[in-house]
Amino acid sequence: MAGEFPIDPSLDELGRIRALVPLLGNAARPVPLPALDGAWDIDFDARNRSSEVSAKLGVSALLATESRVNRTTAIWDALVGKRAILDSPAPDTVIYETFWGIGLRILLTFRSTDVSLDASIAVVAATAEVHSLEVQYEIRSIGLGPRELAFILRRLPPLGRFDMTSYTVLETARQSLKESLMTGLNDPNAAQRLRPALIKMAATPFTNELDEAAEFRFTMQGIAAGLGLAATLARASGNAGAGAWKSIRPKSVDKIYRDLVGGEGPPDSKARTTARQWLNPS
Amino acid sequence: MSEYVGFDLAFRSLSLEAAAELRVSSIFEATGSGKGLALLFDALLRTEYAERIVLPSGFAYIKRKGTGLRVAMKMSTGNAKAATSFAGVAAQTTLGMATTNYKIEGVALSEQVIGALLDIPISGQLSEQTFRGIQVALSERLPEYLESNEIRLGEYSEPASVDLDRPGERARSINYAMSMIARRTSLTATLANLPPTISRETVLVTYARFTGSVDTGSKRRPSPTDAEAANLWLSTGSLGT
Repeated sequence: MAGEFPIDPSLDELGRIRALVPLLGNAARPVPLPALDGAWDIDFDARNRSSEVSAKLGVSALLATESRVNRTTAIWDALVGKRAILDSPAPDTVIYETFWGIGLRILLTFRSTDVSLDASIAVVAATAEVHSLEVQYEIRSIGLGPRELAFILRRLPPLGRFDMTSYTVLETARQSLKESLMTGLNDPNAAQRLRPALIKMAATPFTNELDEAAEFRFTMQGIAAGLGLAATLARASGNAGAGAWKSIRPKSVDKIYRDLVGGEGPPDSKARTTARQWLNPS
Repeated sequence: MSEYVGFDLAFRSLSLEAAAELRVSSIFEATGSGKGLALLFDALLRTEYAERIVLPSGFAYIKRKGTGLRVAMKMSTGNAKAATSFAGVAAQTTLGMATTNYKIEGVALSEQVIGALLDIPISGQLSEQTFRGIQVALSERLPEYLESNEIRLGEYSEPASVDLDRPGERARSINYAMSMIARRTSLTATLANLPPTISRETVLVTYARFTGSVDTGSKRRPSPTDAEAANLWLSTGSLGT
């Protein structure tokens, strides 16, 4: 299973998660909200994702000052709501779990090389305080309205830097929000305010950068060796040794191959030379 | 009121060229592609409505409906660093490292309302005083207004993430860095002999992940364990975990 992803809760007119429609099409549907029974789930976790993935999910805002390659976004949620899990997902189901919630989402974006990729929010704050780490800092709400925005604007430092002081203020606000959100959900209209905020996917439409690079390397090796597409794909299934190239996706290899070779091959000498130069740049 | 699905307190930065093309604020009109940065700070309530629009130039924006304030800033960077927060912009401007012009725009708020929220001119040059005025507007006046008035809806545009990604180029740079780590070449030596088509930043990030160091002056060679892991990746596409 591919893990949990915070998403932009915006749905299109067909009830699909808007940010995922370009990647998943009709499979971008959240698990429907189950009947509410007054028992609520809580999600107060922080998750670190590459800023590139986070932007594709519509979660974090555009930051155009620097390449997104070296950026991590920590997504720090304070959500209450209901977790919906498919009991018996169909074989082609992509999204098998959805957290429908309301609450606050704090986004911190920083250079990946400045802080460990799995750093906690407290560590990010401490690094910002001690080493003047530049942190882009956003606050978003899910299912909250004008009264809550007024509450947040009064108490939080929206214009300030993210450091130990703002971390403490934010953590206190998150904790005090938990009780008021749970009370608010007892409103009979609560279900209308819940939004899909987190999903779990059976297969991620995103790859990490290393796996993506491995797919390119694998394909370029096939082209450089003069292999056709079918022979290149066959290399992935077994004869290169147990566990070899297990992370590559045939669909990606297919696309990389066709983009360079222009078909199913075998590659001409120009494509082979390009692939060799890709593998050994000078 | 129930149409609102949330709010954003967001700080964004983009090129002046993109800001002019996307017409996110009149302050960026006729800006061209000069040096500097376009910065936006939004305090906006939004509805579910969203429509992604891609312009012929390739820039994209999302049309939304909502209400609130947008502070648009045009920062001439000079020696300034890329700013990642409003406070960072103010600090660099106060220190004279940058010149920043601002304009406060309302979404579904009349000029009269905006005027009532501000003790400072609606547009001008950012200074300690105007920064403080913007803070007061956002943390005191706007909350009062939101709590005591009927809120109306207006359209606004939000710069959208465009696919600037070049996976092939990034993969090539990662591949290069891994081959250098496999040969136990120090980061300094790798950077000194970098082919022009290889991204310095991607090489740096890849070394950081494997060797734990981003010290570009360090002549320390990757450890045999790091080299072994890189070799495994080069031959199998995995790190053996």
